[in-house]
This record gives sequence, structure tokens and C-alpha cells, in this order.
Amino acid sequence: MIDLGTTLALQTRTRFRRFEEEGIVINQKTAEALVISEVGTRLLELSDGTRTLGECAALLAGEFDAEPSVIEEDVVRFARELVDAGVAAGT
Amino acid sequence: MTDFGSRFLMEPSLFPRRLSGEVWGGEQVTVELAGEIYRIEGLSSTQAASLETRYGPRLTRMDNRVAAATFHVFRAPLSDFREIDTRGWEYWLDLDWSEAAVAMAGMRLMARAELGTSRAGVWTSVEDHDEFWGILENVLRPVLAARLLAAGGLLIHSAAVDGHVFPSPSGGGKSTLSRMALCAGLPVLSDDLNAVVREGDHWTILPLPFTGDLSETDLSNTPQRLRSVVGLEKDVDHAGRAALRNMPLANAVSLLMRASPYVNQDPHRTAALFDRAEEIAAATSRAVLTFGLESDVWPILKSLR
Repeated sequence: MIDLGTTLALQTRTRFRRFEEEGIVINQKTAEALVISEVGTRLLELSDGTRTLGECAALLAGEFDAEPSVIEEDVVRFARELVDAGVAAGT
Repeated sequence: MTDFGSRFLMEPSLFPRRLSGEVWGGEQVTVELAGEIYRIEGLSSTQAASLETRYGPRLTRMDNRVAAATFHVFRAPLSDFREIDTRGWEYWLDLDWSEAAVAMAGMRLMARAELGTSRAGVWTSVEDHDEFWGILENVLRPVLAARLLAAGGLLIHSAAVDGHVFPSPSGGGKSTLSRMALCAGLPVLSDDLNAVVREGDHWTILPLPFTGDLSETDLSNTPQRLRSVVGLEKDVDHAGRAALRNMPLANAVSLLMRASPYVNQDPHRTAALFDRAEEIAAATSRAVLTFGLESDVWPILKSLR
């Protein structure tokens, strides 16, 4: 169950790096490399293992011109996609 | 090493940790790959002949030049390996990367390559002329990939045509595009694996003897200056016309990383792979090509520098 109280962390065999506005996550188990959107890239940078998704969404709301509720929905949806793709885990 | 080798080896825990064993014979050969010399020692005469048939003019016997990498071939009893039903089976290798080495397990094959010294041990039960070269090549390719990455280059699963590199997974159109290039009279380096290396202020694609569906006799042996990195999309609507669109930097880096066999599963050198993919992608034109069998792709590719 991923929600705003979840803390997101990349899996151990996953690496992330920013390239200009976007980011790339590589899953070394499957050799897949995913291109991550600007907001998703910033979320991964903020996901330091201590911040919840809700805290990350609050910070993102200050950086992007969007309603906080929209940011929260996007953050939870993106986190679920990362977990489903096997590149991140939520606790 | 959880699970490593269990699909191929009867006793994975007995995987060799030192480069030692009983050699097959006293023959040695060298093979030139991406401008470097790879020496293979401990061969029987049958194994040496197998490699000579496979690598032709790239192979030299009694070569005293300094080698970039040395492979020692040792005997292993057939009973060390699991029997594999190869019907409908797509070949793969188990790789286990560490800071200093990579261990490999495959069909009738164990290998360990020390990345610092580029010395490798290859343990196999295979001597057969028609089969041995494939055993060795399964070790050569990952070692070549690691050496290229360490030396500032990259091994790319791709077709290379007239300076354009088309990275793609199997079934993505590399061989189809390569055949279209041959029909158009354009030079093709490989339809499967290409080495990209830095030469001064530009990047060069070097020919390798690793092909997909094409024969080596169809291919050019002349290095090509890298002009572009082009992703491939098949024209599923069969509209017939080729189309080219820009590819953002991150997408090109992602494409190159996905197409960097072996090393993209190495957790110890990810930073180097990110760096290299970005250097190559940033230094060249980047595009996505949509094409079909009837498409005339070469005129629109001329727009890429």
C-alpha cells in the first residue's frame, strides 16, 4: 500500500542519475533503464529514506506551479509505478 | 553469489576462485578485437583450429606482441555441468560482478576474469571444432565490454551503418536495417555488436567480428566516424514513409545504457556507464527513426551531421 505516509527508497540494484531536466533509473537486475519525468526526478532526489511521500509532495508544491492536491496524486501514482516496476520499495 | 551458476553447474559452490587447472594443450593464438590483442593459451590443436576458422585473418598463431587480455583455457569434466535442453532455449550467461572480477557460468562453461589485469580462466569440457569457438566467445564478449568501458569506450548492441549507430534489443530491426543499407550500397560494420571509442575530439565505431543475421563477408572492416545515435521504431501502420524525430539527451543515454550488454548489469561500474553513455549521446546527433521494409531511410538520415 503506497500512500502519502510511505517512505520511498530505490532498490539496492537500482541506480539513479539526473540528465538535464529528466532522470534515468537503471535496474541492474533486468538491465532496464527508465527515463523519469522532471517531477519524478525531483521526487527521487527528495526521497532520502527519511521523508514521506507527503513531505516530498509539500516540497514539490513549492517548486512546481500546480495545486498541492494534484502534486500529491502525481507523487503517489509515480511511486506506485516505481514499486510496480521493481526499482523502488515503499515502507 | 546467491543462485549464481545453479542453472548450469552441478556444484556452484565449487566454482574456481583461482586461475589454475589442467590445460587442454600447448597451443596459443591471439585475436585482434577493437584494436587490442587478446591472447588465448592452453589450447588443444582442435581448439586452436576452431578459433582459426572462426576469426580468420584476425587470428595469429605464435604472436609475441603484448596482449591486452590473456585467457587460459582449462579442462573441466562434463560431469561438472548440468545437461540443458536447448530446444527453444535462448542462450544466456550467469554473470556475477565484483569490484575486481567477473565470474561467468554458462552451458559447459565456467570462467573468471580479473578486471584489473584482464587475465581470465576458462574451464570447459568442450573441445569440438564446431562448438569450442562459441564457448570462448561467450567469455570474450563480456571481457571486451568491461575493457572498453574501462578504457573510455562502449560496446553497444547495435547496427552500425555509415557512421550511424542504431542501438536496439534483439528483434528491433538492426539486421533488417543493415540489409537495407547493403542494398543501398552503404558500409555496414555489424548488425549486432559495435565498439565505440574516443579518438581525439570525436568518436569512432570500430569493426568487430560479432554479427547477428548477416555474414561477416557482407560487412565493412573500415572504422567509421560516429555521426549519430539513432533509436529504431518499426512502422507498425505500414505507411511506408520513413520519419525522423529528435531524441532528448536522457532518452539517448537510457537507450545506450539498455544496449550496453553485460556491463549494464555490473553494479560496481554504473557511474562509469552513466558517464560514457552521456559523453557519447552529448557528442553526437540523436534521433528516433520510424521505418518499414519499403522505407527509403537514407536520405533523411543525411540531415544528421
